[in-house]
Amino acid sequence: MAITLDFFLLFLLFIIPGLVFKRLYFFGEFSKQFSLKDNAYTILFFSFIPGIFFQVLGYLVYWLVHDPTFELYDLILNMRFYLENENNSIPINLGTFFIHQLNVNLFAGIVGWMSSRIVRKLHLDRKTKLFRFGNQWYYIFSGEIESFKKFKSFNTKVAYNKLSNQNDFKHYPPRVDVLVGNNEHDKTLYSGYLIDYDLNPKNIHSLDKIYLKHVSKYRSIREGDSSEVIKTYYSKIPVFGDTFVLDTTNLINLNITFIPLSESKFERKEVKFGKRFIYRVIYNLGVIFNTIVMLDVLFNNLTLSAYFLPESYVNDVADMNWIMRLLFATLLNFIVSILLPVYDKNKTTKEKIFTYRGKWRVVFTQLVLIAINVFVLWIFW
Amino acid sequence: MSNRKVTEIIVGVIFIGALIAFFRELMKLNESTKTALYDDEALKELDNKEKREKLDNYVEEYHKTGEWDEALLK
Repeated sequence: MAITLDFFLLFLLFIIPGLVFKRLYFFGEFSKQFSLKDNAYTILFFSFIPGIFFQVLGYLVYWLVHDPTFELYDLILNMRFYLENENNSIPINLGTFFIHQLNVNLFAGIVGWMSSRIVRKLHLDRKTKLFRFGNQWYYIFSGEIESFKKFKSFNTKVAYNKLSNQNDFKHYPPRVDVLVGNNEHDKTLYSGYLIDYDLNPKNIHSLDKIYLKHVSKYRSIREGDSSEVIKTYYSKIPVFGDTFVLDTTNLINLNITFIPLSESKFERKEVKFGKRFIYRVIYNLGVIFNTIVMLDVLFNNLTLSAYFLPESYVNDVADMNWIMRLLFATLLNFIVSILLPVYDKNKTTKEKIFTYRGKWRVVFTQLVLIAINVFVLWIFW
Repeated sequence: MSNRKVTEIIVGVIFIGALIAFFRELMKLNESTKTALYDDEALKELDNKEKREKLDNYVEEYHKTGEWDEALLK
């Protein structure tokens, strides 16, 4: 009974947070790395390690937020006592324990979700083996393998690297030439565009199937082959269909060609990114600043605005009614807005793009509004 | 309403705004780290027969010479 109960507690305290973390850490193409079909000991051991981390961290948060004299350890021991002696009343609230557990699991989930995205965003998996995911085939088929340290230094003269000398691998599906065969005399070469792939569920390092589009099959020239399919030494026969699924059990070799987009497209994207980002930051900061000023003038007696406004203004505005305050806050907003970029209406992208091009027209309108605003304030002040 | 109360409300509104901004950034992070073997737009281009033939020639030329000839894509 004691062993079962200990195991139950171990499971609840450490294994479940570890499992939650792992489930959310391995996402997308890497989700096969999390599998409950693995050996039970492997699952338990590799969930136990992150589980300890989250439990300790959760306990620290608990200790900081709640009564430091109250030990969570006591809570766990009490729960054990309660479970073993059902007739005894438990001295603490059991609900606290489960709320704490819920928080720990939630924390593990958030950390798992975020850390994997950050690893991908910062390309840590490409830079160091420590962060690399187990799906080697993804790195191969996506072309990211070319940015690995070994390949990068080795492949500097490869045309693909030369054209896409930046971090993102935006490209066509890779063109693959696949040689499959049972024996030396029975081999077939296919070529096509790789759309997807399956990993072997029993061994995620091994490829199971590949999915191709626009496939051609190569064979020796035969009588009756049309001139369209005959190449110099062989015939290239198109295989018509929507998706070609190739079992890779008898895969002999695979030649992958990454097709780069034109260099000019990449350059244009890079130049735009820097400016866009800076303009967006300026715009967002301006919006936040204006919101704070508006709220401060209307409801807070200019406590925060007093840092940058002359004292006489602060004192006068503090005595105004709310309509006059609204006018004054709007005036400040207009002044700040002169410095901000405007939406680029010519760009019809999903994301809003900011620019200073054509800003002068907006500035003119803003100056007119400021003049009206000052005039009204001057009359009624 | 006391000044302290109002300041707390302002800080609260800013905090909620910051929280929304944080979650928006998280969603963006999720979008930008999606794993994919290719661009969706590039895949659509493949369905265009003319474009595909150009690509095939582009690749075959690369296989022959070891250099990408961008002129073949235009």
